[in-house]
Amino acid sequence: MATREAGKKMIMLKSPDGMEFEVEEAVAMESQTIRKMIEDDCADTAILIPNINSKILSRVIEYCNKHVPTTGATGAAASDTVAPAALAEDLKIWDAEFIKVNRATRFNLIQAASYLNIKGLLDLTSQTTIDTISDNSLEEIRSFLSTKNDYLPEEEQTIRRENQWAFQ
Amino acid sequence: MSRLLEGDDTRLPRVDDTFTQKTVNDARKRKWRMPQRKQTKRSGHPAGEELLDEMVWEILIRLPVESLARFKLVSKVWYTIISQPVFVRAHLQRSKQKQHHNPSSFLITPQIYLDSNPSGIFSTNIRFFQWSLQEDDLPKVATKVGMSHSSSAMLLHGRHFPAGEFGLVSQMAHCDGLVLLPTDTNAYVFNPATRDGIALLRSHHNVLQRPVCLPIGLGLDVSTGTYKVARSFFRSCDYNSVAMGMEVITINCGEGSWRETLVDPPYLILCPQTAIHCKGCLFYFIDRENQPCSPQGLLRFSLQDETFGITPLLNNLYPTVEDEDIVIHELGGELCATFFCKSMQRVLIWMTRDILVPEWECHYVMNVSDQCLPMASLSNGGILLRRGHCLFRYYMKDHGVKENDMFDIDELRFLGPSEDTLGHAWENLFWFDLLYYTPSLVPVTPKASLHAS
Repeated sequence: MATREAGKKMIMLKSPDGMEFEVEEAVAMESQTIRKMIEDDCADTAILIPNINSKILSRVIEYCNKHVPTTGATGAAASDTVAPAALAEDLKIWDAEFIKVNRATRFNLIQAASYLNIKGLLDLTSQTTIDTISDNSLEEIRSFLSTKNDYLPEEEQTIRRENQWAFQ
Repeated sequence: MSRLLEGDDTRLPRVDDTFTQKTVNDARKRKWRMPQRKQTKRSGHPAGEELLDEMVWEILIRLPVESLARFKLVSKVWYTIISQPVFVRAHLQRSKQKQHHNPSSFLITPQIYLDSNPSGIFSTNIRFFQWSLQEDDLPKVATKVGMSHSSSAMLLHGRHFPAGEFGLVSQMAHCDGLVLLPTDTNAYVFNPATRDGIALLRSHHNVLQRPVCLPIGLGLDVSTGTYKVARSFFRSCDYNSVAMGMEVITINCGEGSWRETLVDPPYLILCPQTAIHCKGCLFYFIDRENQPCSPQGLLRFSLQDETFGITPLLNNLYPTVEDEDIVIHELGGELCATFFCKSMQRVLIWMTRDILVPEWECHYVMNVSDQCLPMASLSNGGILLRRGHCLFRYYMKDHGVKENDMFDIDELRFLGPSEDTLGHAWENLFWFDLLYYTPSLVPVTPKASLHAS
């Protein structure tokens, strides 16, 4: 495992398109999937992250870098709960900027967050998508998500009838 | 009124779809292995133009029940995901966690007398109002008592039953988004969030001639992940002997009818009574007056194996407390016993983790002057209590209740499509049933299933 000055443990992440990213272990461990690999000692060389291209992986690392609990002078990690409100507010603004991406990138980020099990990022990306679609018509949702309406007209009628109250 | 269950339901929860978090996690793990394969197949596609099942799941799981009912129409894949028992379960777990961090969602049902000269007959117009207790509600409302922009409850679901379908109602019970309404004829189970409801017909075994609200309870059978209603009835009721039996119905299950349990309750159950559900068991007070030789404690009915037992109740206290002076409750998933100690002028709340051999521990000693009921534990060590129509927060560190930390349900606005009623303006109000409520997708009646063409 690579180490750098200041004794911080470094982890090498590899995307399927061959890019390598050296990140601090603490940052990588924002991902529960990677944390588990490190804890199970499966991470002595580079970790290959399948399905996530370098462009998306670099965004994910950017997110984790920002969200890793800040390390105080004593080396003790300060948890989110004790972070001052201002810092939390800062993060919120940063998140809002971070998620201003096109639809394809956002879907990729959801997928990456889900695979890497990064709760904060998953909440952020999913919730943003929900906020986008919540008030839209079904047709708008279908087109936004590139989903086809595969119902037969009579099937659609049945389900609409069953859930009529939701369409009022 | 919806019909009783009939026919088979192809989406019945199976044993392998049970509710445990572990199962849900396993299912999710299975789920997110799948898309990897899909992804490799689609390597030529422009990345991320299409949402994979796994991502659809991540989005849907965060949506409220109302949106999900609408989104069923997006596509068959979405319909299938939303209808899966494993999704229903995972969605419920998520809502519960949210509710646990910020206990805010309540269901209020005003129980109204039919006429102004209380004859004891209740209105058959049943309304479920959903109310969110906001963090800053209590002080804000209290300082503006009577002002029109106080907190409001929205009509979630209403059912107007034919007059005379029932005369008396008993206390409601809630479990995972399902609400049990016991009456002196039928009992009803609703899922107000999905506007689903079913009438559970009156007991044919009951020998009592007069209409009566029989002891009844609603809960989860953890072994099958199904919801059951258990109702006791009078098997015989003459001067020499009174005997009770128990019948059970499984909600949204093929059989759809009451069946008697193999064993009868070993003691008489106090009637009327709505059982408290905790950890897959229903808890009843025993009718000690009519059966003096019965043991101290609660009668326990396991929804899993449908057998009975006794759970001792605060037997380690001195001076002793009569069971009758204790109110039982479920608080944060634990069995909880509350009583008002007159000599101390304190309300004591005891809790136990083990429901079979309980070790009652006193969790709260509260400096309040009257009996009150715990509604929910608050995230920062406080507890939300109800006394009459008032709700108040209590923090142990403050040793008391601040005047402005009270909230009066009478000051709540009840809003419906054509309704705007201030709580105290309900005519002939008997009581507000107030349930700590988690909206869920749990089905009550089988829905027309889509068969893959």
